[in-house]
Amino acid sequence: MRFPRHMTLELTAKCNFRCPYCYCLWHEFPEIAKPELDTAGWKAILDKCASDGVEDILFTGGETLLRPDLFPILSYARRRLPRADLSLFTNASLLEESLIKRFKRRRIRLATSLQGLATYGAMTGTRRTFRRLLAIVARAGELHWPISVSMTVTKANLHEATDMFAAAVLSGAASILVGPMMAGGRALAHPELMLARAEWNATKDAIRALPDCGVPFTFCDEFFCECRNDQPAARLRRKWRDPNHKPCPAGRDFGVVGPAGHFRSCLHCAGA
Amino acid sequence: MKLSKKNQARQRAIRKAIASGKSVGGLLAGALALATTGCSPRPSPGPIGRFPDRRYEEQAGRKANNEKPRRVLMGDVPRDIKDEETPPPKPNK
Repeated sequence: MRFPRHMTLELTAKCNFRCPYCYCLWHEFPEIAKPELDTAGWKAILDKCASDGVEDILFTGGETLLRPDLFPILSYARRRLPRADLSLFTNASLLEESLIKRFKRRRIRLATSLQGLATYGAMTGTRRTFRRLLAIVARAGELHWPISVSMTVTKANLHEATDMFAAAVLSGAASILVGPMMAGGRALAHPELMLARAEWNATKDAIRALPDCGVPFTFCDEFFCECRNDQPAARLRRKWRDPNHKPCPAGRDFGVVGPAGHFRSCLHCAGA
Repeated sequence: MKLSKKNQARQRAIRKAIASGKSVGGLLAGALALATTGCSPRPSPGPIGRFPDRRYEEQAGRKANNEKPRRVLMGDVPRDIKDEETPPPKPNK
């Protein structure tokens, strides 16, 4: 089969955070992540990306910076796909100034997530605070390699959702993506954190009412991905499906390769 | 992590706002104002352009000065001032 134009490569399932809203599918289907591909395996995947004319690749996880062979893989990707848009998602806990410079040299854009402010520790399952994350976002801006910031709104951080947005803007985020917690992955064990649709709409209105500082932002409206066709999904679909929502376009020009090297048509779907 | 003074100030402001329970969104308006006026707060030119305001004199109970401004160049001699005669020297005793 031929890879689509837009690809996401899940380099690892390992993560040093325990976010309760994590939608990564291997929390439901562990076979997606085992055994993890080695360096040679990912290089073969990148060869196929190059031969199939893939235009952009997002490297994600798990936590990508936990892979010791991350930079050999990224350097190979840049050599094989010199014109492609390459970006990497990280929780930024291990991100440092020297690494930002290395990403910049390879023209690999960065994205991270701000999970909360006062609730940052609870939303990441760690003892960390938001301070370092915002500082690294600000430093990346100073190095002229600004980081995009995504944020997931849950019942726990709902009260500070607009503050999270404002803090990301003030710290120099390149762009911001805001979405509600989705049903899937580890999040299935925490249904009490799922927003009601009215709460999500009110959050969007509050963010839109903030002063416009020129930072582009996007809302992701999905509570449940329509691509899912597995057994647990039927129950989730009944509860969380939005009848007004358009079907997910994944699969037409988007694809995912999981940690074990298996192709999937969507981040939230276990099958090809 | 080393940050510029501007970013250090912003990070401090964010932490302070969160610690005190204030809205971080309110900082956005301030940051936007700074971005439009320059790197540091500057007084608005409006009040300076209107100063002196005659109402200040009236409120102070002083008579407004309605005289036209008169320019006096160096070397000009006002006409309404008479030449003073040099006093005669005092006789020596």
